Amino acid sequence: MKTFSAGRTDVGRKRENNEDSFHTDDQVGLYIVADGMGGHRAGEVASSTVVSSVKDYMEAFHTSPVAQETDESNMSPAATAVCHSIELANRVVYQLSQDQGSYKGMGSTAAVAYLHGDTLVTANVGDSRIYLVREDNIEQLTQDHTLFAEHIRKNPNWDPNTASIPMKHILVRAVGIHEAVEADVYEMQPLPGDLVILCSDGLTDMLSDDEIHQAVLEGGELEEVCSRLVDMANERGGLDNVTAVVFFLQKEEKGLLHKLFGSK
Amino acid sequence: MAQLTLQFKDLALKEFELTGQSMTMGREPDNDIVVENLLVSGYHARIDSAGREYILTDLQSKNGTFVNGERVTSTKLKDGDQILVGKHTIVFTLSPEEIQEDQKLTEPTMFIEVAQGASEAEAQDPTPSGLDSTAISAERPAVLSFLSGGGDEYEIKKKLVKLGKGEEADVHIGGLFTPKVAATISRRPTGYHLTPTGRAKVKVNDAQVGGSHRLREFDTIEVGPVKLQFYYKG
Repeated sequence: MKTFSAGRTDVGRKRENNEDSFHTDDQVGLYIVADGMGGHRAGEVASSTVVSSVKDYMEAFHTSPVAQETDESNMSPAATAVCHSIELANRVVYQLSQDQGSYKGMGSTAAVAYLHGDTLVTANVGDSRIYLVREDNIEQLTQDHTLFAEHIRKNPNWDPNTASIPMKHILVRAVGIHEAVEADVYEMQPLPGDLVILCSDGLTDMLSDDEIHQAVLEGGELEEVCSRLVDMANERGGLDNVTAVVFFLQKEEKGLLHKLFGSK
Repeated sequence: MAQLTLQFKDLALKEFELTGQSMTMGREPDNDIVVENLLVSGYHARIDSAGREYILTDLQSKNGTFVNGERVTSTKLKDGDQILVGKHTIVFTLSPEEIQEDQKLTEPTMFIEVAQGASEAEAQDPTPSGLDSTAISAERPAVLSFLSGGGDEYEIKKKLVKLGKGEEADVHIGGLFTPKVAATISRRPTGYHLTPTGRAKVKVNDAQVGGSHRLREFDTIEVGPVKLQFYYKG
């Protein structure tokens, strides 16, 4: 399966700095979005450090995919490697925040997708998301690590209109805050024609899943899709930095998404 | 600066200012707000300041923490909220400057510590029957039970389970025409998803699966000579 991708990040309408970072590499099959937090320039440092650490680790794994030392018998070596790459990023960001006063308390989200052979590994920490668009469905492949999301998970019948609302922007897990972090990791079998989106909360706070899905189905070049998503978030107010990364798995036969993105 | 007023019935007992990162309340003397009452747990609840937000977290107290009459595990506090612990009320008030600021600005992303115990306590709760929460279904352990043509049952522990004849297969499926991997089952936030590799016919409940299929309890999966049933364990 051949993949191609695009990514775009934008400061948004209200912020002065862009604390989001992203990376795409179709050769390695690696896609990353990170959304940093922290004062002054610390958020940018945190997110770019996450991206570079994950990238370095995964590129090494890609070159020589050796079996990983691990306790996790329920994961493939590729999934374990993604896990380790986020743990490495955590150590690097945490160390930086310990060593330098102005970086104290900085952290970042991480959303990582890695295509390895016939397996797609997805992992996240924080509230950056990964979506799968398959045929006529959109599915969130990640769970947000926010107070809000945790509350909903624990109280499925909770009505946000009647109760006080734990805020959406309070993370309960982030990269670089503690000495260790646990990423949620999933594995699946990708199908030709799948389209995967990685994004920061600047996109998902402004647009619903359905709107994201519709924007993708409008088609065009993947660069246009990314721009469309970012522009829509900005038109809605652009309260935060917005990042969208999209990759598409080339399909041999004809399908809906193939018609939109596959015909070159 | 947020202010907390401890009251018993209508009597204001003491005022506190939330100055640091967080403040705890409970019966033990080392709490920031000591509430001496048997209905109050040793360490009952905590308020964290996170940027411009104040978050109240119940520390798994025996008798619960209530905000304006509603039981809470964790919630954002707003000006005038009444926090009930035992029989004491703690009134949360913001300074006028803070209220204005709150309305003016958008919230940045913040990080907060959440009481570790809270999620463990939830995990022990029995899942209500008939609950159709997709997020929860992926965390429920599931098994594949052989209805015909194989062993006994296979517990899905891996994130991605492969069904087929090859060495890499987790669930072995014999048969002359069975490929190395005929289908996979992926366990993810939205549940368990069966995806055929396209190298063999895969049926669920007698209908052939095209792209992929989200498994429901008691679905029967047919691959080559093998019939499996999917269900949740326990």
